[in-house]
Amino acid sequence: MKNLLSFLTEVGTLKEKERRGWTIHGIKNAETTAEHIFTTVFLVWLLGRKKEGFDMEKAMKIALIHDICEVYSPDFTSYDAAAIKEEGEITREEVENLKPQKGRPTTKQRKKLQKIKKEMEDESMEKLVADLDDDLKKEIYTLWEEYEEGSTSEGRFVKQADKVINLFQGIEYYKKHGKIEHDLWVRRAKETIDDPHLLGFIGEIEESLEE
Amino acid sequence: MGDKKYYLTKEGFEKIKSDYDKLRKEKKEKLKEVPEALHSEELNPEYLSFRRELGLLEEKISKLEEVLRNTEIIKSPSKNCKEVRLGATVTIEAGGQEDEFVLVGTMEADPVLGKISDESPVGRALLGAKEGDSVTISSRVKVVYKIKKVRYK
Repeated sequence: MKNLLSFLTEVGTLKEKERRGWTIHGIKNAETTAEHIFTTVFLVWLLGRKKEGFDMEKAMKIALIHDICEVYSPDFTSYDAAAIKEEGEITREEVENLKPQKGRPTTKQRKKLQKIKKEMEDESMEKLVADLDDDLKKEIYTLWEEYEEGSTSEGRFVKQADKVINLFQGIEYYKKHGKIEHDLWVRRAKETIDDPHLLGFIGEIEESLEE
Repeated sequence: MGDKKYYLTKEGFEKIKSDYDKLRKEKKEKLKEVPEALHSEELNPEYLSFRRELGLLEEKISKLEEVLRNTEIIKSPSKNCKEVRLGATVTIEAGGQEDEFVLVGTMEADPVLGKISDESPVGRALLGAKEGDSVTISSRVKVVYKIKKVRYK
């Protein structure tokens, strides 16, 4: 049981970890990673139940674990990618010291960040699950791989639901504080989301801006 | 209802085939070391753990089998084709910024790497457009994508 206690204690630290995407915008008492996971799980359940041949139990587990690597790895945002030069290589040390920049990163910039981000997240996940029983460790890795690589419909759905929840939270903050570059976020959603149920929900989010 | 059709590039198909072969090999290896089912009069925890792991493997194998059975490999048109079709690398300009996307089927989409699904609003709008065209994504936020270049491998 000791390994489970320490795993839950570590994952529990995400209840205190404010999301950088919001703190960069100067939002006080910003949403934490655990709160983000909470609403993502809800969205996966509420919209996933409309999908045919969908393994809901698996999808909800993927939603639960999708960001737990952030216990030890940084919570990178597209503003970090926007701060990377398009030309030349970037080192891990440079990534760790990036000064986020507002605006929309290009594919080249995103790819550069992704390479190092993945390396750091893999190390973090390894540390986090190190003492768990082998079968549980394997299950977490399998779910995480499905999310990261989008190799199953559940993994792809959660990956897109994660983006939609970010958009939803961003719009909520925009309505309250007006500090979020929401137009860029809506634009990005139209490039990244292809699930019809999630696209329908984005439509509702957009409509809520008219109210 | 028929099975869903998966449109994959040749590389995407080969990756899935290689993952599938790897999993089959892993399963074969696993089956060489089946623990005893019973430990005294109770089910052996090692055996239960083995069953769970085998179940996960079998599920992954069966999903990939379904994909491989229903895949249609995207055929690249001639290199001179200037129309956006599946597999095209498209240079666009939007909001004063140039960017590059590859248009792929939903299975291979990975927007962080610039691989945009043909079922996304932007993918749908780009599909069928030609070099020099502009397409507009109409919603509350209106964005115009100017297609500057279309190329195929």
